[in-house]
Amino acid sequence: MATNQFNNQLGYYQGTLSAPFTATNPGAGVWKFIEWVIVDMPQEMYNTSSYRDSPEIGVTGWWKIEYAFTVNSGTNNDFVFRVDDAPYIKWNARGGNNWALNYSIIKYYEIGDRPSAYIKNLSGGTNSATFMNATLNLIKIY
Amino acid sequence: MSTEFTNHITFGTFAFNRDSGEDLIKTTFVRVDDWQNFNMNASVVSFPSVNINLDNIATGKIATNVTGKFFFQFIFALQGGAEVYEYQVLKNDVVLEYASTQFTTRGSGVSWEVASTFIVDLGYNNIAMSNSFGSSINEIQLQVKNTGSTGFLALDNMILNIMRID
Repeated sequence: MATNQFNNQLGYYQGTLSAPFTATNPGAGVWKFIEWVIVDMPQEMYNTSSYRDSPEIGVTGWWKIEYAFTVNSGTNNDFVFRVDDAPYIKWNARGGNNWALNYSIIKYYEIGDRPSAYIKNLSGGTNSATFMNATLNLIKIY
Repeated sequence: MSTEFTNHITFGTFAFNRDSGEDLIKTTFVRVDDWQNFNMNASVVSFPSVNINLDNIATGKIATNVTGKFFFQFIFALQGGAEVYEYQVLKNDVVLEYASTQFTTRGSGVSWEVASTFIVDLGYNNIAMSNSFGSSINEIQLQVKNTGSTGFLALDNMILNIMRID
């Protein structure tokens, strides 16, 4: 089994969005679970099971989780994106344009945990947001 | 390179999620095209923090006393005028030319995401070499400037990721 310099078991994973996914915002102040489909890149996958709407962690430890995505929403509202209950990133969606955004945190996960992505319209509107492309990377760092 | 005797676990995620009602964190520009220390003196939450020091974050400084090669990642939501801004990264007061970023904002209270990453070697620095002592403390500092006007650049939201990779 692969280990790092501290002799800890490594884990890493990469996946990409299979098709554009629209998150329909249910209303003001509500985090919407993103039930998108991420396609595995098998040659890059270690120690995680197959991806449904959330990756499954295969090794307990500290992981760096990162999403890079483009999102389109025809509104001027502020949107926020986060994983689980972690801190969020914020952007201002502008009339129909695609925005390239980046989200990443370091977080402790145990075997079987499923890091989940959420989106919220911070301005309280009910507009949806469409993810045009997304790439997910998971790297166990300790 | 390192041995098992010099390895230290070092990483951290730091975040400022500005809730409604909280003030923007502003860096003011008195002159055009003039570097200012980036004010990140917000209610920063550690999520987690191991061997990273943010005591001087009001002047844009992040410190560690663990040597090695580090990965830095900045993700900001910023508000400014309809101007071209730049930020640069200093290691122990020396600019890292490869870590600079240019961006624009829009004004009218609109938040723009600006993100960047870089890898830097934080070895023993020679600040005190005249006294025959090196230091394992290194400081990374962010500075910003407005290339076309004065006014301010405001921090609305941020996530910082730092990890020692070697």
